[in-house]
Amino acid sequence: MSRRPDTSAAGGRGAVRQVPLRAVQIGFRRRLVFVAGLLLVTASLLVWRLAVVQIAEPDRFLAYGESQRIRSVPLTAARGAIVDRNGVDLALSLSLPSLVANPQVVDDPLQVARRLASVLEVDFNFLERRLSGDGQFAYLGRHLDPAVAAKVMDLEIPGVRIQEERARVRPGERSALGVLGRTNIDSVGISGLELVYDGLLSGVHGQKVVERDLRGASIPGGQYNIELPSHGRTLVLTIDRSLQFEAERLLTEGVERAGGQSGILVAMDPATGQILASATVVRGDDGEIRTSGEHRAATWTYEPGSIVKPLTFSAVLDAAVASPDTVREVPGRIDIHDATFRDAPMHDPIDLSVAEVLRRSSNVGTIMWATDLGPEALHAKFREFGLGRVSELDFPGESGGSLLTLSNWSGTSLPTICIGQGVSTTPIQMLTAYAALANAGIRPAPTLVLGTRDDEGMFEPRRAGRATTVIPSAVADEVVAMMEEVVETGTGTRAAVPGYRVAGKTGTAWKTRPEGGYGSKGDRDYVASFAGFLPANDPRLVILVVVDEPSLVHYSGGRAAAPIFSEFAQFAVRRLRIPSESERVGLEQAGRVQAMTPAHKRLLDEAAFETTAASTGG
Amino acid sequence: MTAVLRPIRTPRTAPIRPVAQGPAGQRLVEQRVARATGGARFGMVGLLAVAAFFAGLLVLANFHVVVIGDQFEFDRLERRLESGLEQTQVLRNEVARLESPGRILRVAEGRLGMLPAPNRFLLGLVLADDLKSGLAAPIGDPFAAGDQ
Repeated sequence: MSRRPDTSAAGGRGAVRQVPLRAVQIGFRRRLVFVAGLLLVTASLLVWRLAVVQIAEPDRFLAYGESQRIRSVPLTAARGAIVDRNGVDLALSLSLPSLVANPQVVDDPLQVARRLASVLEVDFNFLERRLSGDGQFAYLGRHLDPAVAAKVMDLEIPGVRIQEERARVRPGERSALGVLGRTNIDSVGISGLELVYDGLLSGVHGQKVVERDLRGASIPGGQYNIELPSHGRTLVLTIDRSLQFEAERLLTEGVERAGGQSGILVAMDPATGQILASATVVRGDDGEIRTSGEHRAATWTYEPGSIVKPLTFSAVLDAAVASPDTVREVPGRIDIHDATFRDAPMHDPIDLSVAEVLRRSSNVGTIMWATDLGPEALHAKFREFGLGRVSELDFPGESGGSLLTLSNWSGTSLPTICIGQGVSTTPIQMLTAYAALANAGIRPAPTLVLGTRDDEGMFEPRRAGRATTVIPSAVADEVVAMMEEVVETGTGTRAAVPGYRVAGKTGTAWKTRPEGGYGSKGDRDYVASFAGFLPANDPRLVILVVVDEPSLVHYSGGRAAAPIFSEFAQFAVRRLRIPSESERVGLEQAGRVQAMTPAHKRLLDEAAFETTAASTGG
Repeated sequence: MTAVLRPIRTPRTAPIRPVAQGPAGQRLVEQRVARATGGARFGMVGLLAVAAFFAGLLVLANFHVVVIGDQFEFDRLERRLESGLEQTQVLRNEVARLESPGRILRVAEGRLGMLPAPNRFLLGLVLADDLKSGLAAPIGDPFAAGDQ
């Protein structure tokens, strides 16, 4: 019997309806089951979601989470600098401001363009077009002067901001521009040494991965991975900045004086083939002569004219066809096949020694000796001197010149080629050939690069090119002695350098016309040149000067190019501390005390230390 | 309105425990004393544990503060290094520009009004035993510090 009160009889308004306990319990259980089921379903959903998040797609959510915290910052590798042989910066990379805009944020492109144009000093329409574009990014100016960028930022224009970018700068402005070359707006080498050594200069970019909070600060103990960038190596050139500048300055003045269209001056250390200066100047459309961005010493070819004659006589002496004192009768003109070759000035037949022929730059005498030598020997010797093939300079766009193969020689090839016509060379080829004469017959491999240096200053020298023996040193000495006479009493007296013995040769070549041929008398263009070295008894410096299309008043190599050689050599001997003849005597005098500056003393001490270290194997 | 009739609850009585007396009572007192002592110890240990826990938390918090401080310092130094390297490049460029022969020549001929020498004279070397020279050879190094 149940003890529960019977509530079934209760009824009516206001009465409490009695509900059976079992029904309540059943209802309660149902609700309980429902809630439990609901909780179970919810828990199942959570577990399922958890499984999806943790097991099925963990990577996706990990990546999503990391993308919120982890910042990947590219570490740009700085492009290596280019320095001269003394470590002076010729080209280096800087971070410069660029002005960028989001056209979608700029309210009034016309008004903004007007405000910016006055500060940036650029075309208003250009800015207006950029600011009216559909995209969200537009460059308004790249690699700006920081002062200009600061002025722009002072304007506080919404949607316009500064973005730092790497830029290539040359502290010496256009000096040595042809050698250094250029980079594009993204600092990639596109010409000159910037192009050749782009791989070394560029380096490898790095990356920094770091966990950051909302404010951008690093999270302590968070992820921090850094791949350091490998900065570009510093390229050390053989160029001397001071010599380069003076070469450009004197060449500009000299070409102006000679009324030429362009000029080239190249200087080299004959023992090593290192190019100390390489200048190119051209007359612009406005008539002003300025430094060229083209390295014509390597890319331009011309018929060298009489400066080839020492090479011809090297072959003659090497083949023992004659000696410097061998005399023969030389007429004023000679007919070979259908061509007539003349000496300038004309003369009656006279007896001239080989040395005299070179001193007077006699075309006829040279042709006669070259004919005795024969085309095979001449061609072979010219090839050995490096004519007609690309040099070891490794410069982009370098020309190999033109020396016809022997099978293509005509009857007039020998007489024309032996006097420097009918053969085209680059100034570098001629300079290197002269370096062989100055270097006891050993032709050095020309080079513009000493080596590279890494971040920590470790220097790695460039592997030197192979030097080749072209003529015996005895023959070279004889040719040098003959060339000395050219400067002392011959056609190259204006190349003399006070206090120094100079050996050299002038060249006055006819220039080929675009339509072919050399023009007629009185209507010819010339290329005047002078190549030489000093001191003649111990050459330390070889210099070639070329003046293209000098005016008819100064068209000869002796008038147009030799004075430039002399002026530059006078500067270079001081810069390179090449002692004059009298200084040599003084240095060799017993008990003589040499006056020197502290800097000079330090250099001598360092040289003495290196000599001692080398001799002791240290 | 529905009311639920619940069964009348009667209070439960705790089971009567036998009172210990005599030697057994004495043991009970000892047990109580021992229990009280053990409880105090337990309380002390708990207190110490809690204190140690909070001390540990403080140490941890302090360590965290130090780590965060160092991280800020690290970030600051890193930014300073980058800025310093950039400044080095800027100064290198400035030095090279100021030393550039072209700029020096422009300043010399422009602002300073200097002119190139019309003639250049090269002094001949005077040797010690040269009797023809009217000049006496210098004695010692004229550039030496003591002689200037």
